[in-house]
Amino acid sequence: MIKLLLVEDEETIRAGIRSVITGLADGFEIAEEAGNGKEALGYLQSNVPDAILTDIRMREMDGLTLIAKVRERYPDMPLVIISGYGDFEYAQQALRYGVTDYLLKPIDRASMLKALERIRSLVDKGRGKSHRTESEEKELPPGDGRKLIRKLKAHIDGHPDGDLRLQTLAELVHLSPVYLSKLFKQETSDNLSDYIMAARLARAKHLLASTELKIYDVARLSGYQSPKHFMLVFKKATGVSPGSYREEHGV
Amino acid sequence: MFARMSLRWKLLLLSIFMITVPLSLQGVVTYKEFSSSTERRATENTMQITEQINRNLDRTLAEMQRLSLAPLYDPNVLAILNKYGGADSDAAIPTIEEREKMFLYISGAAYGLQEVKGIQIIAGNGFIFTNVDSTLMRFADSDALDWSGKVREADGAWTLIPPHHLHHYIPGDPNEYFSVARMLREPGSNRQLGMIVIDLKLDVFRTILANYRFEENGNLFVVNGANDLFFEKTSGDTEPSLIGDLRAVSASFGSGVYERAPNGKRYITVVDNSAYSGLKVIAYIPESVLLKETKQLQNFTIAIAILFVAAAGVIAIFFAYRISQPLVKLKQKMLLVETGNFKQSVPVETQDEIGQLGRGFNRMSEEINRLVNEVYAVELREKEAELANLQSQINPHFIYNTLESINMMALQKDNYEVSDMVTALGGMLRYAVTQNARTVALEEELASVGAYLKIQQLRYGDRLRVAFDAEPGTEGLHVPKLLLQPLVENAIFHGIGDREEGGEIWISASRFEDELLICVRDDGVGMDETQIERLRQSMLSPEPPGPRRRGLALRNIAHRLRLIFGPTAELHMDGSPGGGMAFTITIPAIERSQGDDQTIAG
Repeated sequence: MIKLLLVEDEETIRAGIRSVITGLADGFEIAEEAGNGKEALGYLQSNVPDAILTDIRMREMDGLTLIAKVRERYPDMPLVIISGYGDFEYAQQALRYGVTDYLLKPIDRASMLKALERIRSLVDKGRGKSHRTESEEKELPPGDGRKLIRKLKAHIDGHPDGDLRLQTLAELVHLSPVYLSKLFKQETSDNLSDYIMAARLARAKHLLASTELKIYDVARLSGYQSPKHFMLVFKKATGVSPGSYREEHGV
Repeated sequence: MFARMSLRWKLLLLSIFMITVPLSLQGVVTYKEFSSSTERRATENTMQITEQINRNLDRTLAEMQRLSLAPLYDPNVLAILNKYGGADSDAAIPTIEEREKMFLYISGAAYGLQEVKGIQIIAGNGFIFTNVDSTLMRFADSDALDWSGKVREADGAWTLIPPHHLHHYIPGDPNEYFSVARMLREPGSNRQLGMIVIDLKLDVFRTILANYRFEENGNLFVVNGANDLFFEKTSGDTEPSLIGDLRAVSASFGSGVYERAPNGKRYITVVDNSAYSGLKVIAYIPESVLLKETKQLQNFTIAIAILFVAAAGVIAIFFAYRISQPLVKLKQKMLLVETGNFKQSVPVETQDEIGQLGRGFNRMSEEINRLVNEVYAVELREKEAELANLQSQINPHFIYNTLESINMMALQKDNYEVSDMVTALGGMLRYAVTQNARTVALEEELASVGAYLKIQQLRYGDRLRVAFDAEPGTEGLHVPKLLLQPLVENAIFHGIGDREEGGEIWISASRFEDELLICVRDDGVGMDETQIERLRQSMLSPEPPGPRRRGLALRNIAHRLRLIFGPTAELHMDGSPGGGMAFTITIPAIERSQGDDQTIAG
């Protein structure tokens, strides 16, 4: 369990943060809540939390002063700032104190959870625990890899106009994007992006030669959102513009 | 025709014309002058030669005439001739002694005269004394010889006999000889004693001719008044018709120079008439021979002319190019200015009128550009002032804190939809209001658009589907702030609108060489070609065509892009009926350096 000190002068916000942490973040608890820097320092006299979340603008003592004092004693303690001020000066000072994250109000749930994850890894490192990152992709047996790539290729060839973003493809074959592109390169000695482009251009050539669709629609149906981008890519790859290609090869 | 030509062609034609015409005129004049002087010289030369030949012939013939009179001054010869002069002494053969005497006399007279073949003294009874052969003893029937009549007619004056054979006393000699002959009369009694004939070799002519440099391909003839041909020297290709023409010339033309053209071939004909001998020396020089030299000159002149015209052409092209190039450039730049690109300048290299024109143009475009920028800058300042005013009226932190309170209240009640909406709104507001660099990293812009779409998705629910697809490596590139939101707004309005099934919006970014392409596409009803064309045109026209919001927002984007990035940036629009619309922004791909990074991602 990671103990947090939450420093924030508004009760509503404290309550909100509390509910996010208790409800959504596993393994965190708020050990103490303080309404300003002074209260927080008082708590720190006799207690050591694992990390501190603090607002900047508060009565009695503001967040940056608090951070400065905390840093004197605990140079490695993870600190996260929650602020309504995105101003450059604040951010710069915060960086100088080595804060873990700088969350802007209104706080996005997802960014907050991300900040907590960062705290967790820092705390784990401090405790000497090896950080449990997302476990390295287990190596696939070579045969499986080949089968998987074949499946992937079939999918790309079948849907050149579809959603072929790396993220999407990775989800499709249940691999991480990084590992997928590595595997693809390894199996085919070709870049995944080049393969996708080739499939899309092949579809485009087919459409240009056999239909009278507008270039815009040819681009769309070949997976290019921007007709202009399509024209540039096509011209570079084939040496002729889509229009000229159609004149040469069209029915 | 000339009016429609480009300036470059006009200059080129003019310079070539001005070079070619004088050059060819000069060539023609030189050629004419040279050929006529060549002809004149050749003619004069030929005249001199023919005259010299004739004078030489005169001299030789005069000598022969003197020789023919000599026997009358020798009493021995007179005695012998007297003895055998009459018809009464017919067939009487002179004695050996007499013959010997005559032989010695004739041989003595002919001694040293190489041109003389022989001298015959034909006595009245027809006996021939000659130096040709001392043993020769022969009578001649002098009446039978075709030339004897003429000699008799001359009655003591000398006569020139055209070439003939000497068969009457040298049988078998194939050569022809011409002769000087006269009747011999006893000086006192005037009694006819006989005839003296001096036979001359035709080599006489050749010897004389050899002393002069007569044109190799020319023809030379010697004829007498009766048109008898004494001598001819012809070149290999002499036309037979020349002989015919010769007869006409010798019959009717005196000394002088004539142009003859027997059979179409032109000749310079020079005639020299000797008053002394009645011989005419006639030279035919083919004009082609005369022109041979001038032909060379002509070829040379033409070659030089071609060379000069070619060189002049190259120089003319160079100058035409040099002079017209700045004007062509200026024209192109002006066309660019017409399309609204005021940031144009032409290089000024010369101080002449064209250079001044270029400088004037540069000043003008600079001024226009300055004014446009001023207007833009003023507009921008006004906008910024407006915004600053707004910001000063509303304390943003109050809003952020309020939004945060709402957010936290929602979270407390596990109302994540409200929380999401509030945080997205806060992010958008922060992004829009924060005063910092005018351009931001693409990922920040995309994040802001994402926040906007999140809010819209809460409104539209499943009807609005969004796909982001930014190529790796484009996240850090510069984009103007708040560039995409109008496009996305536009895509939602026209792409989803009232459609029950909703629609999808793709926001993609890709890098192509040095350009960043950002595309916003919807899958709505789209547009047909005429509508698209009208939309494109409305981008170019200075005033918005109507109160339509769509056109105005797009125009603003296009205008902003041009002002920030210049003419290379553009807003490209395309679509198809039922296939939605795609708007592609093309701007230079500029990497954001670390120093630019003044904003902290919210």
